[in-house]
Amino acid sequence: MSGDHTERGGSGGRSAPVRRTLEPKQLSDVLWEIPAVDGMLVPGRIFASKALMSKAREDRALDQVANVAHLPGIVGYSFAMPDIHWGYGFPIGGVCATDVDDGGVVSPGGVGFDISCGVRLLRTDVDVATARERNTDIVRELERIPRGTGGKGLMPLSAEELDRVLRDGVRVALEKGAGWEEDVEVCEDHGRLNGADPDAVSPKAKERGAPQLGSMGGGNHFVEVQYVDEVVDASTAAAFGLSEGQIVAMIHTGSRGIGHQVCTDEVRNMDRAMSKYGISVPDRQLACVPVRSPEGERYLAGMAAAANYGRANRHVLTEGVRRAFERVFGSTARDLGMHVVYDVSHNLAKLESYEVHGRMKTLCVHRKGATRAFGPGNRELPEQYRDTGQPVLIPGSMGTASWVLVGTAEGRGLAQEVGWWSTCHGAGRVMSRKAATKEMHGRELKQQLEDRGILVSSQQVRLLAEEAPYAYKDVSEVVRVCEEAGLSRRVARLRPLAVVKG
Amino acid sequence: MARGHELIEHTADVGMRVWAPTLDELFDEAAVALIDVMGRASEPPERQERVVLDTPDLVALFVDWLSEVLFLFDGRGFVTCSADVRVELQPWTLEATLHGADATTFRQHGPAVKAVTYHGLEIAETDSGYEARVYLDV
Repeated sequence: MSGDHTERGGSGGRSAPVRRTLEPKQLSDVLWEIPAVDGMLVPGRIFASKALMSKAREDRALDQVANVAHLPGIVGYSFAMPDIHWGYGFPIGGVCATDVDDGGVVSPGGVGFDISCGVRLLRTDVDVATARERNTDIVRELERIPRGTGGKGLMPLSAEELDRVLRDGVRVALEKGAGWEEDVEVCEDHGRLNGADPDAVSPKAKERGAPQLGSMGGGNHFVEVQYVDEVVDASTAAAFGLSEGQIVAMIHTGSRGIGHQVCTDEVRNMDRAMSKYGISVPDRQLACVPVRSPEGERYLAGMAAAANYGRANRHVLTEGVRRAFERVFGSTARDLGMHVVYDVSHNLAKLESYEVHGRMKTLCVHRKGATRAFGPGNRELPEQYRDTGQPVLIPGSMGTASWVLVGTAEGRGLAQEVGWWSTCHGAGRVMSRKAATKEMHGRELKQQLEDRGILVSSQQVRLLAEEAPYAYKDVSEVVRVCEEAGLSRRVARLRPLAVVKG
Repeated sequence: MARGHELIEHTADVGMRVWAPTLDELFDEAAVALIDVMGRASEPPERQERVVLDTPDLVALFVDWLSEVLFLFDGRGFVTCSADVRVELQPWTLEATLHGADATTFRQHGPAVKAVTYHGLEIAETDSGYEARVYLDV
């Protein structure tokens, strides 16, 4: 691990200043600030406890917070959520808003390669005792869902159908027979991000995307069967349809090859276009252009298209999960009460309106490994969650706990103090994959989890240890800090029974 | 000087260090290394693809090259086994013939690579040839 805290842009880079960040100042038990120095336009702000901050110091994540503060038009702070860790360009857990009408930029690196990667949660009427007895069958049935590199998804698309999915998202998959009408309502943006243009997506990206709809992919993506193990906020849990001992299913995946290619294409375009706008950045992966420029508009249109694909992908996988449960329990998904609680992404840039210093502004809010968390009353939320606030879905590390949180009203009027209504997105890694596999063989970890009643299905058992709990921060500490910082509140903790890994 | 590659540490993703006596071979080795992160073909190569690139500098050429190899893998089911690469300097161009196997023969042994990043990318001339460091999003 590099300890020199320098950032190099690469030998061929046109702008590669070596920079050093100062020690973050502690402002409260859960908030730290990196002063604006060395070309930073705003300070950095990190939501973290002392323990989480000491982990963040171990790699280059803090330098990345400082680097993001260089982006033209940035407003307020370069934020990082408590699950911050070293990414490429942006830190994972980074949030940055730019003023669209004041030269503010959009950066594909602030969204990441897995555009609209996110989480969908389904509830059921099955109880944990019943599910435990059928756990082996559940895993076997869920294994039918396509996963791993390449390959075909559950709903391969023609070129014409793909364009429709890119433009209109979840509803197109619904028309093709997947899912329920009510699912659309509880998906972020009602399953369709505005401004999507299939023509802003390259033929290469489409070639990758057409066969893959309805597939998990690899990495840390999964379908997990969990039970509600502890309810922290009973009335909100009830409004989300959650109660103790109930089985739920969590789907974590994104836009697959099409999103990866859109980001690759657009980083390349912006890398070439940046100089035209007089922009230079401390890391080429932060390539960016003004939102109000042909290149910026093209990226947002292509990103929205990939996001629509990402939501449609989780929607099709929902059908895969419902079918699996139907086969195991011998009743229909409707009879099993398999309603979608919510679907929300944690890799996205969105144009959102905020009052800043008494004036309404349109900001381009980048959330890279951070989840939007609107509080009660927000008009963009589905009717049923307008009084409670937005459900926030936090996958924990494998075999530990996941969380359901809710957006809070505490920061109302002070959106820029709470990261533009954002919160964490997971546990956050602390150990490299390589180091994690040195600690333990995947087989041993699989056995340990099985001894605790958690079945794990993986195509490469050896690699399971990459996702071992010790490679991640403690998710409970992460969500506790989010609550103390007023970013989100805890609603319910979920424990796994069965994990089918991508 | 021998050529080769190895993985380097990154908290969330995967980095690789690649070395070879010439730039042409460095690019070939890097393509092989990228596939080796994910897995390998169990059959000898019997397909060919051609890649032509034109970029503003060496780092961009390297990123674009590996992105092409990844696109061929994920989008066309083409597993690169080796490549005859010809790199030209200033302007930075590349012409390559890739020899690969079909993805049906692919045996996965590592994480799926999503993309190639510019983050921390370095290409340096050494006493015995060239060396590159690159981080991949997995």
